[in-house]
Amino acid sequence: MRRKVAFLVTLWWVILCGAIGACMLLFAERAPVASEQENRTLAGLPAVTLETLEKGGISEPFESFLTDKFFLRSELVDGANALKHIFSVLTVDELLDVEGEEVFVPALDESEPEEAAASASDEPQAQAQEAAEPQQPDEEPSAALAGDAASVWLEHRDGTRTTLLTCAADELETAAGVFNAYAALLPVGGKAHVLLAPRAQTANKLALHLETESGWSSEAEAVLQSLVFANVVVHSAYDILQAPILSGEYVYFRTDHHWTARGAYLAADAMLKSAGYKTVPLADYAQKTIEGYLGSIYLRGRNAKLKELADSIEVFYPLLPAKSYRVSNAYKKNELPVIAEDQTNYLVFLGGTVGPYRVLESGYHTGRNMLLVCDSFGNSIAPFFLPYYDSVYMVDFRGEYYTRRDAQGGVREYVRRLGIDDIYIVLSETNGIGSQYLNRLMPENIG
Amino acid sequence: MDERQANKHEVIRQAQERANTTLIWRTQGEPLGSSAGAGDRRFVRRALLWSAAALAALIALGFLAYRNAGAVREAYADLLLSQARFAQAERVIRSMEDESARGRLQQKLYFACAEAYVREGKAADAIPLYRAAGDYPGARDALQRTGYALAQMYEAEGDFAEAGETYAALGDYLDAVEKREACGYAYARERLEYGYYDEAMRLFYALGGYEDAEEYAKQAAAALSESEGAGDLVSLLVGLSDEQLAERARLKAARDALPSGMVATGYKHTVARTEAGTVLAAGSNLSGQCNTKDWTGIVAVAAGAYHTLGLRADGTVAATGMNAYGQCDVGKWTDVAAIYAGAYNTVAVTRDGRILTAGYRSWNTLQWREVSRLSVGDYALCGVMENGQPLCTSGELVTEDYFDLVALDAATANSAGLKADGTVVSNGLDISGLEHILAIACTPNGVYALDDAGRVHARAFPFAHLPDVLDWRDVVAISASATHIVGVTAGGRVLSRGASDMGQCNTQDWALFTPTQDEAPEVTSKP
Repeated sequence: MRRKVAFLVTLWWVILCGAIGACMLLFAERAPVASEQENRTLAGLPAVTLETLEKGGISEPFESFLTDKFFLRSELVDGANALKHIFSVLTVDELLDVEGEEVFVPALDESEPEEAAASASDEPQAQAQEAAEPQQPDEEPSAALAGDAASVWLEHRDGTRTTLLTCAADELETAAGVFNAYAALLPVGGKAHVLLAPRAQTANKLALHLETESGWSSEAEAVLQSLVFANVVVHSAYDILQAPILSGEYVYFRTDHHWTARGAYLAADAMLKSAGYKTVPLADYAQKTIEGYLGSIYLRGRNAKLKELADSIEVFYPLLPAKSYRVSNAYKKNELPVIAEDQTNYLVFLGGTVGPYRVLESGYHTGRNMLLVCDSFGNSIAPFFLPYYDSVYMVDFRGEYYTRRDAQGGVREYVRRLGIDDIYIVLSETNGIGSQYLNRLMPENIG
Repeated sequence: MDERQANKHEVIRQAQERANTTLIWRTQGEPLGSSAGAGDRRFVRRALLWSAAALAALIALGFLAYRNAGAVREAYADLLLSQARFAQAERVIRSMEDESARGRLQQKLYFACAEAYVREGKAADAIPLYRAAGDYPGARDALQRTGYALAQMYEAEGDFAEAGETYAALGDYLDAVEKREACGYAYARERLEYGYYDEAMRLFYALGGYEDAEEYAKQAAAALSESEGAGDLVSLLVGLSDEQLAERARLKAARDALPSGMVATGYKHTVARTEAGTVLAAGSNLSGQCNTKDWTGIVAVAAGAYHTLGLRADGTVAATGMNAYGQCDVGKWTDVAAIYAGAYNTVAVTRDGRILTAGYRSWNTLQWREVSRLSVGDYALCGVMENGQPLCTSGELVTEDYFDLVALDAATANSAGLKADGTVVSNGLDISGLEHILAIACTPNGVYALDDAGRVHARAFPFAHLPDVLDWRDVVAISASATHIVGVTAGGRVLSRGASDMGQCNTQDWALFTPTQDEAPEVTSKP
């Protein structure tokens, strides 16, 4: 009897393995897919050709495919992570302070056919812009600085304060030079707005400790303002966001390093109001909420303790029919989402970053266009600029999204051809003062 | 020596292993295989046969489940909903791939959740869920029923402000309109009683002719003027001087003499109706917005971003241009008294006061009464009541200064109102110095105002530039887009200025009606 059972067990084990293998080959997603859970691309089924078979290059990709697309793999990964962190000794604050991973966005298929050339409406604007001379600064920046020129402080309720970050004088001067270079690209009357936003890791030092912290202050913006041309406005995200944070508004995610759409709205609103715009109240936007969001900070360590702090994503829909396209060589190409309904993470905003440039066609008719130089913080703020500009162009110079070869032109060329009236520079502190983004990527992509 | 010893041990070990194997064979029988006995071979055959059958059945079942995975999930979600296990149901619904089924079940989930709240006596929590359920069968009725019950509860508790707002959201359900007014009146009485004269005055004034609201408004205004000095509304309510009344009458006569619906501007096109009832058009025709040459019997025109409307004398409406959002689906409208166009919307008011809408957005205007005129902003609908009170679907577009209005024009987040005394109010633009104004045109970049001398004044936001048209004379009608403005002169000519990249300012040759005097055509130029 025992040997018969052994035979049956062996037989069914072989059948089970065969069935799983066959099902995988038949039903598993054969194309590489982005895994939100693991923040990477899961391998697809490799192409079986005589050449790959001869060279033996099939086995490794095939093994990757089998492991990446294995039956119940997501559940196994989740379970393993939960087990790993059950006995973690790190506190929630320590866990929240880790470097967040950028949400992964799979590269866009470059083989998609191009749409028509630049829209008819772009041409006249471009022509009109050609006639406009670049704006000359009204006044020269002030004298050079020395040493550590500006700090950002976290202020405690007991009257003391802690330095959150410090900017060196040369870094501030370099940043001011970059902002001035961008402002100089604009036609007469155009303004460059600069906002360097803290990440959630910094903001939550205040937002999650309101019983001990009373606020924050930054002198970096004031110093920068003294170094830039008259048509550059440096906004202080710390000033803008302090009051909402202190009043308990949900301005930053906890498990993700980005600001929420509400935080992005507050920043956009402040910048637009400073330029004289009458802005659309947040209450007028249609809204949906995605619950249970675990963002980049969670993805870094996948600590079970952070699951309890899961965020919710408020999504605000554009008021008029907006469209978005990838832009290369100043021409519109593939259509992209404005709100990615199939996403339940930060990629819901514009479907994530796409390079080299992107345009949001607002549906409004104001006769003005703007360029948003940004990192991923720009994805949630861009829709709030729509009511005030015909087209909101965006560029993210990070290497994953931008190459000069794709862009086929510098910012100067884009500003001229797209009829840009204003430039907004919205960067997180990671890509702000002293960063490679601001010091190298922005200047080298101007010309 | 050691090597030989090791070999000897290995030989002994192998011999013992063979002996053990033999022992196992003796107790359990030989392994199944080619050398197996007939009984074992039968067993193997049967096992393989049954296994193949079971596998085939499993594959068939799996295939069926795979083909019907959506239906299985749907049935499971239905089951969970019927058992009020909402959290689990939501997870299952989210995992569904079929968007239409997911949307339908999501609506059902909202509805079921709302019903559960109502059963628990949490009507206030149920209302947003009923709203989210959208057009799910029964959701609208339940929303109105629950909202009405909630409003009654607020009213019974004496929370008239909340009750009024809740009734307001119900549109014309049952007697919600009357109830809202009654609650508004009660709330205003309450404020007056507590000495909040300013608020009470405005609340009573907004109620118009309801019961003795006007009297109370004057009473509150009188109290206010004694204590805090007279504001415009206070002056209006307490009483205007004979000179002021005469000036208002003069301006009204001048406004009434202006032609209405004569000219309209879209994003990059301009249309105007002639005395003969035809419609002239210039500018972009990419969406067919300028295909108006066959129109006849037109008494008013309006223009959206990419579409054009014409009101015929018989009360029907002609439309041409972009219809992506149904903004031109107005063929069945009859008995229309006035037409208005937003960027992607069309709105009309019928002779019996109903508001008809078509296009990208719809607004809840069921409670709007005594509407004298409308304006369609980029996303909001605004209007003016016959008593001069503003109506608006967005609270931020009008401010406390908006009263005693004869016209209201909205753009994106900015608006401008024309008062009966010829002054202008705005919710964010410096409009100082504008007096004796007869008509306004609001754009995202600023406001144009036509005064009683036929001149047009421009007020721009600091970030924008508007074409200067102060040199125009004898203008009787204006219309403006963000980038161009047109004006009709008393001689029937159409002046235009601003961006003309699509020819939208090519109106120099137009003559809308027989000139009363010779007039040279205006030379247009870009700003």
